[in-house]
Amino acid sequence: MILDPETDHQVWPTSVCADIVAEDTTLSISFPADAVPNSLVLRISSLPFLQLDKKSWLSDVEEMPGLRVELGGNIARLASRTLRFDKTTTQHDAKYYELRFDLTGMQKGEKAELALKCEKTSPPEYPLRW
Amino acid sequence: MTKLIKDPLPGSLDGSPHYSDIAMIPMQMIVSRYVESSLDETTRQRLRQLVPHTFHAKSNFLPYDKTPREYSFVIADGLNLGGVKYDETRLGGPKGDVTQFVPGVIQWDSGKHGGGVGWISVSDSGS
Repeated sequence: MILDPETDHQVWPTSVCADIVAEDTTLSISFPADAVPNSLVLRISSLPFLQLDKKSWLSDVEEMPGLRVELGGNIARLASRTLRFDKTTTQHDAKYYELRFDLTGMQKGEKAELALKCEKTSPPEYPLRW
Repeated sequence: MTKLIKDPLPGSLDGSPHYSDIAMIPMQMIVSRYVESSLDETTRQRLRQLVPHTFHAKSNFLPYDKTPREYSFVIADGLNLGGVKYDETRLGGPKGDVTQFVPGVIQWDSGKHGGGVGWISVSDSGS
């Protein structure tokens, strides 16, 4: 592990590894204590009829059309959210949300974990908005 | 095969920068009867009806991976999840393309008014 001498935070992992496992309806993401990266990024589709901008994505449970996600793990609340546009295409729905989990403040020797427990729901009918 | 098409294809297909790949469709129609003839009945049945299931696999990509990658998938009606356990010498493998390395994905049926398919992808930024 390489530490920033100013902050004593990890700046680059000595090993690039992660355990990302799909089991039942949960996607579990974890980094071993000696290889926690500076950040973890989730990208989330932002669809034309999805009012994601009104949702926090920092809560324990997030609702989207057709899916309910329960967040767990010790890094679930370390996120900042940004709306991004895919500049490689001109499609109207080529925007997405990016959640960046800042892991530089993790305690030394602490394993970083995030769990996304999914539950399929009936997608609500959003009004057409072309 | 796409090079055989002399006439321009219609405008971009929404959601696919690879729209010219649709030229493969007539080819598949031609070859499918021969390909499918080698499938046994059990395999055919699995392709006819989706049964919720999990799947695990491993791959080796030496010398760029320190250990074999372990893949896990959950496939159900309207929802699928996939993850990879990895230990790489550098993020993104030999190409080092972090944007193309997506070791975790969730996809679900978000309904047509939700765009059809919702997705969440996981990226390890490394720095």
